[in-house]
Amino acid sequence: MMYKKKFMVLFILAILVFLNVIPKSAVKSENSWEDAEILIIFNNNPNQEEISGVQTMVKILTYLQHSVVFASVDECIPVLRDYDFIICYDLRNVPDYFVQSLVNAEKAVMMLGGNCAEAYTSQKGYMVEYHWISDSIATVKNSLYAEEPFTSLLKLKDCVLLNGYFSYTTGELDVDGQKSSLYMRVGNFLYTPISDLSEPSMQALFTKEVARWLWPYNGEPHSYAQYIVLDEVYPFVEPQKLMEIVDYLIHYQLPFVISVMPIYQNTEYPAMKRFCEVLRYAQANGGAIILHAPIIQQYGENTELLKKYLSMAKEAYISYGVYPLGIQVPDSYMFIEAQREILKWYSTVFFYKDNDDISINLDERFNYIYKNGHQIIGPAICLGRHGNNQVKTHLTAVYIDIYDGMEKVKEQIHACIQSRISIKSLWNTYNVVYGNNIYLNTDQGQLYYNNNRVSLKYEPFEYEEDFNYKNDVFHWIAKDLRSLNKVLIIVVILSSTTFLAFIIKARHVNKRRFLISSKRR
Amino acid sequence: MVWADMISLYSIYSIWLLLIINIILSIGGFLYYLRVSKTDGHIPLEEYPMVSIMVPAHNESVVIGRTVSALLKFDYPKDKYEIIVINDNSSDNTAEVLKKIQENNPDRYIIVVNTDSVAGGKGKSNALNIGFSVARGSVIAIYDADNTPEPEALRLLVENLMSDNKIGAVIGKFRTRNRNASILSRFVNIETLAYQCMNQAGRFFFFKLCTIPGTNFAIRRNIIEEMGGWDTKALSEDTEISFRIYRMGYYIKMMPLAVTWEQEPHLLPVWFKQRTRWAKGNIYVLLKNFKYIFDKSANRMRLDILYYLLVYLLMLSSLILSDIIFISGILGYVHVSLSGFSSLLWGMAILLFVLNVLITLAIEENEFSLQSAILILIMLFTYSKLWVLVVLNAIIQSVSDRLFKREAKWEKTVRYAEAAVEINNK
Repeated sequence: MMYKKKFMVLFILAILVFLNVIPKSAVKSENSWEDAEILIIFNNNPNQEEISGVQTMVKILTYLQHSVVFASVDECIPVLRDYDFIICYDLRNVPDYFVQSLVNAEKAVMMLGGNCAEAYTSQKGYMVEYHWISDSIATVKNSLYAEEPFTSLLKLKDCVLLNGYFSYTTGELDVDGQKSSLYMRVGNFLYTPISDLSEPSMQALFTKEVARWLWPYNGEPHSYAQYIVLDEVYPFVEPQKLMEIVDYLIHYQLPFVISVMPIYQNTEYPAMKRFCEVLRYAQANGGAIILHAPIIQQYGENTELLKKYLSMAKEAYISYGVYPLGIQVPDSYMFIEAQREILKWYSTVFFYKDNDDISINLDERFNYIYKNGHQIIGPAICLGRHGNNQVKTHLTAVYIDIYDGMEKVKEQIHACIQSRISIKSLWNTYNVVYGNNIYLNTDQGQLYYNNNRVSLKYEPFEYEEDFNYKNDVFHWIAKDLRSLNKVLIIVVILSSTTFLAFIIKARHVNKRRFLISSKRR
Repeated sequence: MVWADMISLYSIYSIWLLLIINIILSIGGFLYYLRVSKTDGHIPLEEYPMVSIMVPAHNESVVIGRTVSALLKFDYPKDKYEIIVINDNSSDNTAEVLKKIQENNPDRYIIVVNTDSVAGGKGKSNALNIGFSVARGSVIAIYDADNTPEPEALRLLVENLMSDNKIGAVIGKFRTRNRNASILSRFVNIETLAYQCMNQAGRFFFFKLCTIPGTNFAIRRNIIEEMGGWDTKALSEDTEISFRIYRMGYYIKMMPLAVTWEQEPHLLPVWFKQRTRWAKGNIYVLLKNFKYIFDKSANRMRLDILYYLLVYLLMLSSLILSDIIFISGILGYVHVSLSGFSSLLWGMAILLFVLNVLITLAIEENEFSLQSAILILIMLFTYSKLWVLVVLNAIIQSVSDRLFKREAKWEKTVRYAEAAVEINNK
């Protein structure tokens, strides 16, 4: 009987654990927390907007080369003391003991929006005034690194404005005549009433302020350079057009990067050869080549297949004397394990803003990409009348769309020149690229391929006069698809028009009851 | 070029080829409907021949009363037609229902042939052969047990049959009586109008080719005698008999003004069984007649074999392969590197499909609506996919029947009382 009872208790406990009735935090070992410099705390059960905000902060902090742990209020209370920097993101209605723990932890705290700034500052004994603001539109004024300040309207969730004595303030915020600074700092506490980081200007401002807050010394943190990157250059781009842009950059003695799309098939075609000819010319004149990640709808778990394709693409370019020194990938890659695995083949990773979809996995609780030790280059945030890059606290890439036309390209290049951020050459950094039987590295401006030094001197290719395309019947049919498009469009237009005419005629006839009647039913 | 590219190419070309064939047939069908609509369809005869209407019935007590009542209302000379109901080994009260009808109509020729499990219960072809043995008419008309033909249907069929000695049979049009019973019956209604009626009309307009639909048709007695009755092994005796008519040098005419209304399956399992039987029957007929594709003496029947080949080989394979490529692509197993085919064209193909079917609905009363257009769109992604499953099931069953030397079994379509359906219609 006794055994039966014990068995029942154990069985019920097992069910409760299985059904998650017992909180995960209670059963989780503390060993699962990664060591990091920064802890981001978000609300328990965050909504999509809040998750998106956390994702933006993690991306920016990763570009700033910091390790970050992110967790909810309930999860992180026991570990507050383990992190030197704590960011409270839009925290609302948190329990008093959380604020008390935060105060007792005596760490550098940054708060974005939320409604616990009053409790925190009063317990810390800061001499500040509080003005509660409900949901409203705020006028925001800030200058960043530009000469002219930006003025914009921003939706503000209910929060508290702080006024009083601060050691540092920046920007202005105006809500129905109630004014405050945009960011304000007292001691190691940094506060902004704004939690919405969806606007590029707010992202740029957060990047600047968080870098300053994390900087352990007086004055401004380090300035980082920017790369000019010709984005998504396909092998079928007109060689003359690409050449014109490359020559323009060479003329102004600017270092630049060309991000080429991977190609796996028909690499022996003269078009590929001509394309690589321009790339080799660029390479010999200060340009560096990186590989753009293939645009595939879904990667799934097929990491090995993707690695194989990327190796094929690298081999194809290398066979023409074009040496990719890094890879350009969407920023969502940093949150997906299978894609981080692919990035391990490259020491230099350029991230670009893909879309605003949520790809962060909150259960990971850590920016694992940081552990890979990449040289990370984030996307530039270009603002203002001239579209100047407004981020200089981490390495940035100004992506130029070469398909925009020469005038627009020139404008973007000049914006880079005029910005106060220096332009860097990828040849001046240490880059390593692996692949199947490929080991590429650069050191002090020299390129080594499988440990053999490679000369980048440009020598024109020789072309076969009558290239044999080896077209079989399938190639012919596939090629014919393009001409078939036109034919089919005409067929579809004619048929649709005929069908519409038939429908109108049938309705007309039907109305006059000439056609088959179902009245007899 | 990788295999995925080759398969994609094959699917693209096949699907567009079939779409274009369908467009052409719809244009022909519409023009034929228009031509017929300018007449009343009648070709009066000096003397009307004796007609034997045969109705095979197996456990049809739910619907048979209504069917025979409709047959009795034909405007055909009453002394010139007889109704032969083959009560084929029924276990329900079909016999009693029929007996009551006979008693209530003593002045009409209503013959009921009751069979037992020894002589009957072996499928429609067998039942028709039994009925034919007692038939007196020089023209034989066939109706399924769930049909309610319109009063002038028989006269239209017979008049057109007698108008040309080369016409072996005349088929009418059939409509769905219970179209609002379920979403499935609405799909069946649209499919029936678009593919079984419009397509038939198109084939007749261009090639004088039709396939007997199994009900609502009239055929010359001498043809049945010459061909030795119905093939009892064929599950779709209608397609089988059509092929034989063409081989004998006759052609089949379509008369869309001869309308019958029938009950279509409104439940998926019933529909699936019925369509599997049809597909199995068509595969049997296709295999049996495939040799004639190279035989010039088979006349225009060769075109019909080609048409069935296109449907059962090209369409089936291209739909399956394109779906495999699509799903494998999404799952990341396959990468198609084929370029140059505009995705806009796929959108236009869907538009074309919808317009194509809408023409058919525009011809009919109370069928053309925005709701129907939406249904057609839904059909494309649901009902059409089910067709693939039906044919695959039929192929598997046919192969297993052949391997295990099983006789093809006639799966009767389950009928339902329509009181509830009519309430739905209101």
